[in-house]
Amino acid sequence: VTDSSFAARYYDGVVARPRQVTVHVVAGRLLLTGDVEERAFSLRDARVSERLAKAPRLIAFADGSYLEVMDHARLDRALAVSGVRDSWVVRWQSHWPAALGALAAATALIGFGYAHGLPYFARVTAPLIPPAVEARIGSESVQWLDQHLLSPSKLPATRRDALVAKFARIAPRDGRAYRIEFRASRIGPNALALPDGRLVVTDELIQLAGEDDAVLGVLAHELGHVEHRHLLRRLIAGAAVGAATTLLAADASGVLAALPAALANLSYSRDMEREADQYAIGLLRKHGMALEPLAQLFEAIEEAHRLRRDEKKIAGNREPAMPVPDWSQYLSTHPDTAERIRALRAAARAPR
Amino acid sequence: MDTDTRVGEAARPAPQARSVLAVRRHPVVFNGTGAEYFRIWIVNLLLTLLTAGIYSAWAKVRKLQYFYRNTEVDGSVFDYHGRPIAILKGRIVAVLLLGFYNFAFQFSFLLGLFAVALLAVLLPWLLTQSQKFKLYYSSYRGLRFHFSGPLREAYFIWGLPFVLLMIPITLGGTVPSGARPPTVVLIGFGLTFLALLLLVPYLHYRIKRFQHAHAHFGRSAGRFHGKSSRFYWIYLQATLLIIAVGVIAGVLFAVFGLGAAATRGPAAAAIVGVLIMIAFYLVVLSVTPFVNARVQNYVWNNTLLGLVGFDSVVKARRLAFIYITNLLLIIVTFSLYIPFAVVRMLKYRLTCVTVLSTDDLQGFVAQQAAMEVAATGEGAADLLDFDFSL
Repeated sequence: VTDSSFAARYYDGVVARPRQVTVHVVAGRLLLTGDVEERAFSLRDARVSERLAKAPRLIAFADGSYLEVMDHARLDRALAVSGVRDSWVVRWQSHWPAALGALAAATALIGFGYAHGLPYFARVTAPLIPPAVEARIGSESVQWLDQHLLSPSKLPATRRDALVAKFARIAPRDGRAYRIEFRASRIGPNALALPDGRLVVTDELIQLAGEDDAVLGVLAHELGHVEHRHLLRRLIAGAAVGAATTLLAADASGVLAALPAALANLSYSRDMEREADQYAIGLLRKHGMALEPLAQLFEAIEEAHRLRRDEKKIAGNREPAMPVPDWSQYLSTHPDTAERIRALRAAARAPR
Repeated sequence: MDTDTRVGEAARPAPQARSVLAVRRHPVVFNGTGAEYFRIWIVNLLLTLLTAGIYSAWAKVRKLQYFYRNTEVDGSVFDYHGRPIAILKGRIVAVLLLGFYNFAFQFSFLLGLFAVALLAVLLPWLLTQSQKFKLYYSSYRGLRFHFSGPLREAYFIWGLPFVLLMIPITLGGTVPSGARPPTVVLIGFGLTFLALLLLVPYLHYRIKRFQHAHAHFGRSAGRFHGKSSRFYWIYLQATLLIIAVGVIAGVLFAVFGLGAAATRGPAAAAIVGVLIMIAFYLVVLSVTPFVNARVQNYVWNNTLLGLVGFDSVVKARRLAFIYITNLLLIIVTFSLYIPFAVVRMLKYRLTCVTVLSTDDLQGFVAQQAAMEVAATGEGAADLLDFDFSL
């Protein structure tokens, strides 16, 4: 046994019988001696399986026969002499520091992808969604909301018609259809925009606003969400997260019958709110309307929110006897209200 | 509970062989470790992310090579020969198919129905292809396995539930939207649902029979002697287990929960309720490993490959313990325990199997004509989450 030889078991690929052989590596060829007729194979044509800690390495030949090698150290030396090296993936996999580096990189990548890659992907793909799909999402959403959270509006028809007429004067005529849906709600003052251009606004919000100009501001803000396809973008991001989780969890299938799909946060991002605010500011100022009523409405909502928090504190864990409308519903999707109010007032002061 | 699953009638090799020669036992040994697989897993994960999923085909080959080459019987290991490019093609087809299926209903109802029909027609073929690919690219001692399951059997097995599912869909189609469905339709829904439930053990049996009876190792063909009645018995036990646990949880809550509410207020009652709910979920979760353990034992103890038999002694309680502790550890480690969990579960299920033969497992001879198998089904089956293991 020379420096470039090793013991192995040889299988001929025809009968399931192992044969003890000694393999000599000579000039890129493997010579087999022992329990077989002498034979030689070119190392270049052989498929050398990757190195694992304990498992034997298999050297497969074109005729279906192969060698099973347990003596890792001697095989390594023989392969090194012949210039056969482990692939970089194998070297990476067999070193703890490198593997932990992969862990850090994967964590960073998932974090970055979630924060930046996903919104970008959604922004690019949202315009590709056909209007028929937007219409479907819109009508199904309204149907669901009507069944679970909303009921027909109790506002007088004259008030509603007035709001519709006023908003029609400021809404851009760019061919994109919109429709205002008035509803009474179980979720307090709220407004939301659906991809097909439906703007749902609750009676509670209109009552809290008082002034029509504030309501128009909210509607303009919601129209901004429609124009920028914000809801569609959130839906796409959610679907992408679901698909990615499914693919990554596939590895654990058999261990986990069903990994609960991570739910993407369906609220709008801060950037989306800012975008919608900018849209509303642009629209209101174009028609010479004041921004102050909208700012005051935001303040009223924030104040109501603070009141409810304090009330909770006083009452301890118990629910208050009189249920207070949950203002936080509207605010939870609108972070940094104070900052947004400042931005509104700053825009109002800014010269045209 | 019962020990007869351990030694089914067909578990022993053919009678004439047994009367002449002693049966030799070759335990299945698994040499993989969670720590080593963790490194393979994390590198696979990172490269899959960096290549937007393309590397997943290479990752799959590396993963299976790790599992196969660490599985040892009578001193020799298995090998996996699947080619990443073939698997990648399969996965692309699967992604397109699933994407189409998921979004078809968003465009129109008719297109949605077309997607369902397309999937129903393709699925049995894909699953058969997947099994062919999987076995053909597996080998032991230089001999390939292969699978010869006929398509018509696949269409029967996966077509039956589909036909049953079409009944409520058709019935539902006759009812105008928004209207309350007539009683006849509701009864139809209920009966179909019941029929589907009753069909599950039978379909499970047919799938296992399909997989095992048409498997080959070299020139040796597989045989399967299991009976569907046994599958019904396993599922009946599982159902009774769930009902019993539900009743016990209800009684416990009634006694302790209400007691706590009366003496220490609603907060204490809530804590008691949560604890009982957790216990309830843990037991319900262990129903899956219970069925897995019983089915694995029964199926392998009734399978012959040529003259070779198998003895599988998975314990349901041990499997449930591994399953639940794996689940908890995966949660507390933010999924970093997944590779360790996979190895732990695989090692237990594999090492519970012993290969029985009258010789030293060297008498197998290779099949002559071999053909390459497309990986379309393999990739699709991965994404559709069908588990073919054991």
